[in-house]
Amino acid sequence: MNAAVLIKNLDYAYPDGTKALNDVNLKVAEGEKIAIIGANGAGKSTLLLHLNGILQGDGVVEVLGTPVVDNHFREIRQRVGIVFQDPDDQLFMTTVAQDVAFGPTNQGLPTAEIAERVHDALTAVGMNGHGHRTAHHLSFGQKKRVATATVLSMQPDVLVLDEPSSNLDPRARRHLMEILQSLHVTTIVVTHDLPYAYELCDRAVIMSDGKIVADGPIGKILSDEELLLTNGLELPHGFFPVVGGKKERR
Amino acid sequence: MDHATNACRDRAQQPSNKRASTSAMHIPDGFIDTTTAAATGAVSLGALAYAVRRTDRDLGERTVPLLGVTGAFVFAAQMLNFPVAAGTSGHLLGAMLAAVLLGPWAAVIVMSVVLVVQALAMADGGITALGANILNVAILGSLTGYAVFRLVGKIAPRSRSGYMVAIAVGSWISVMAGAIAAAFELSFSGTIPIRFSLPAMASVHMVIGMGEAIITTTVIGTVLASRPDLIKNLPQHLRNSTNARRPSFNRSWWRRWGIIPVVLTISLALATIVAPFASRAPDGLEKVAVEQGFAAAAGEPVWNLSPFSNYTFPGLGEGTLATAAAGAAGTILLFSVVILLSRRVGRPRPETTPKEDHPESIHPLEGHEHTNHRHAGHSHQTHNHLSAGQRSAEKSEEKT
Amino acid sequence: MSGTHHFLTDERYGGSVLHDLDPRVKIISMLSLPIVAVSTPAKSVWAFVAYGLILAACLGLSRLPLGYVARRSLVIVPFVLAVAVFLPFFHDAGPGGYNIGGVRISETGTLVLWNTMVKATIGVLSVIILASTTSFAEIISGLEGLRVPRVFTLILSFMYRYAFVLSEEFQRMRRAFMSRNGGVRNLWHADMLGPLLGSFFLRSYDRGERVHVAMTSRGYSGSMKVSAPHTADTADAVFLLTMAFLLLMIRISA
Repeated sequence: MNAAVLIKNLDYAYPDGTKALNDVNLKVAEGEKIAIIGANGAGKSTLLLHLNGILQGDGVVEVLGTPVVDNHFREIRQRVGIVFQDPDDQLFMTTVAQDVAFGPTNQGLPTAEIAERVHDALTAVGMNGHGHRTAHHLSFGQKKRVATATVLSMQPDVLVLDEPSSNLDPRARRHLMEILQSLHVTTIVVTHDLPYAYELCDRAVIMSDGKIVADGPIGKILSDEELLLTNGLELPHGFFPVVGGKKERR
Repeated sequence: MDHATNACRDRAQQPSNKRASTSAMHIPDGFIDTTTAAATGAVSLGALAYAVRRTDRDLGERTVPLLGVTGAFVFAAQMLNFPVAAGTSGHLLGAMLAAVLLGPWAAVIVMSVVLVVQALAMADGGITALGANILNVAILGSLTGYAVFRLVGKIAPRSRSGYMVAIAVGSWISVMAGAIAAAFELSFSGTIPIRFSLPAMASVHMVIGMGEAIITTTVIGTVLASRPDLIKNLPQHLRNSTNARRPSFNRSWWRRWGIIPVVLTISLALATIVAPFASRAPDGLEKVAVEQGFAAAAGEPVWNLSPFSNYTFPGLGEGTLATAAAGAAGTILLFSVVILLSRRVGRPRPETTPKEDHPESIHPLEGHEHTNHRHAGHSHQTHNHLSAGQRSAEKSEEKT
Repeated sequence: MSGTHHFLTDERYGGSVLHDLDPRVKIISMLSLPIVAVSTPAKSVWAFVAYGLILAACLGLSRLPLGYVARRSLVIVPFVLAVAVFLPFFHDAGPGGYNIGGVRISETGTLVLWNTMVKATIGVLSVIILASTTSFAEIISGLEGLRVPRVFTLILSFMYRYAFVLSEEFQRMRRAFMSRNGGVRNLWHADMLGPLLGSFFLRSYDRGERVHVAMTSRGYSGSMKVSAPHTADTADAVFLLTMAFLLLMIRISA
């Protein structure tokens, strides 16, 4: 049984020489929901970009057994869907429907199926009926949801989200959480929002200076105050994760 | 919040359609006759077709998002009115800016699209005049500006100031080239005789050109200081970021040789304005234009040059000299300003974007030319001046 | 909504028969008008009256507020004024012409002024009608339907999409600048504008890069498929054919 994501000994340096990733090892099982947390500059976003080949470093990166290399990019990018932090970067077409259809269109699917996927994806994020609208007219929360839909329409096996809850107001945050919890797909979330991570994920990985410094059940990780502090993190005021006891997952 | 309301008020006061009055380059319908429209249209189409091929080759699949966003930038920047000199206000054309940052052919496309949007959405520039407007602003603006920039760059000192001077001159020429072409187009169409369209357009645009030069120089200066990798084909000695940031105003060079570019430019300016009046050629040009235009009906030359009796319009004699003098003075002023500015802008800045704050400012696609970079994992690629297009071809990403 | 791009409305201004026409038809019709008009000799005054009637009919059909249309047409005034300024220099030896306060304006000169004025007006009105009854998105898809090379329509659509985004970003930068510049009202000093524009460009460029990353992540490989094709109906055909017929007739007889 293939791991959903397998990363072994991954190194990466920026064009100017700065080392961004240092011997990263990570294995994500199918269906798992994991959170990657760490201070700014730890290399989290850089790591994400290796998952679909936007960046390529030294080492092994495999998605469901397929190596992330040049001649597999097309397949990989259908299997790994990344929702980036700024929805405006991902909503570049003239209408919402066109944006959601962008992925499937590039996959070469027939028109009828594209329409179906667009419909399903928009429904999944609660934006059905907004297909004709221009991204510019949407609220930030709506844009985030549509951005998620643009990736969902490709029906990926691995869903990757970069700071999904940032800048969302409480209601939008809740709404997005409900959507993410309803999806049965391997999910990797990069976030600072520790409570959000705690609610969504079972496992957490701490990155610091391009390395993975901790990997374990999220309750345990977040309860380790010293571990968090050493890596530039801390729990929000008033938030106390319960070790060993977590809410029933739907 | 005070600042917010101030900003809102400012926005409301911001001139919205005012740019129409300063936008002498976007000729409306009716000012260009059918023949000229067809001719300029054909030339523009040809140049655009070539520009697309070239840009596609250079940028590959990054063409669309990059040019689109730059187009949006130029569009937004063109909205700004700025005071240039003594009550005149101008605005940025952006052709030179686009050419330096993206390369001349990409700039041709970007500026053309901006012009199309302005014509269609804002009625700024006529439909039949689109060929002429594109030729003037997008094609001549980008290409002549860039050509002059490269030329001057070769003879200028190999320093930051030299580079800035080249940009300044290129910017000025880019504006002037379009203006002069417009003057001729207007004359060929029989709308405004060359004797007036040329000095009028030339003198107005000398001032606008100065503004363009100043703004383009300072913008490039900023980009050079923080992200020299973004400038296409940046000369080697400026690529090293510390070099780009160092204020390198070479006083001694300017003391010895500075007079040369100044003299050259002044001569060029004078020649542009004075020559048409000194030579007999315009008479010939006018005759040709006349034959195309209305005088075909009248059967005789339409224009003669005698100022009429009781009204001394800035007649030819004085007008010419006054305009030439203004142009010369403007040129000198321009260079003084450029020199002063390149010193101020060249001040080294602290590292602007520490990686922690901007995780997204990594260069995922390496579409720029880097000098020294160690790139783990890409042993099969060479990094010397490969364009992004070539690189993606090598990656054969999309061959499945 | 920011004031800098209020004329790039992405929603249509009102609703009417004209609003509902196929964008391809509207583009062809409304852009043919200035082209035909410009090719018409200025002396055939009646032809321009006829063009004017066509425009009036379109205006009526579009139900656009006349004040709005008139305001937007003022764009051409400075240009026409420029031509008017040079009028005294159109001399001809023949009869005709006027004397205004000692300045002689020839018949040919009047003709030039008439020529530019009427054609510029026709051009501007045609475009205003087109732009006000068609959303920008429709214009883009109309152009695509007319086989304009995709690279242009794509750049056009991106430009349009990000013009708003960038404009807002710029407003934010400007606001920040204004808050810190010690009360200088006028932003537009060249040496302050430069760095501001420079950072603005860098931000825009970064945006372009991120958009490209997002596109590549969703499988983009440099070519994009066409958007859903339009289906023209009877109203479209009638409008187009009527317009074509009228323009042809007028032009031939002029």
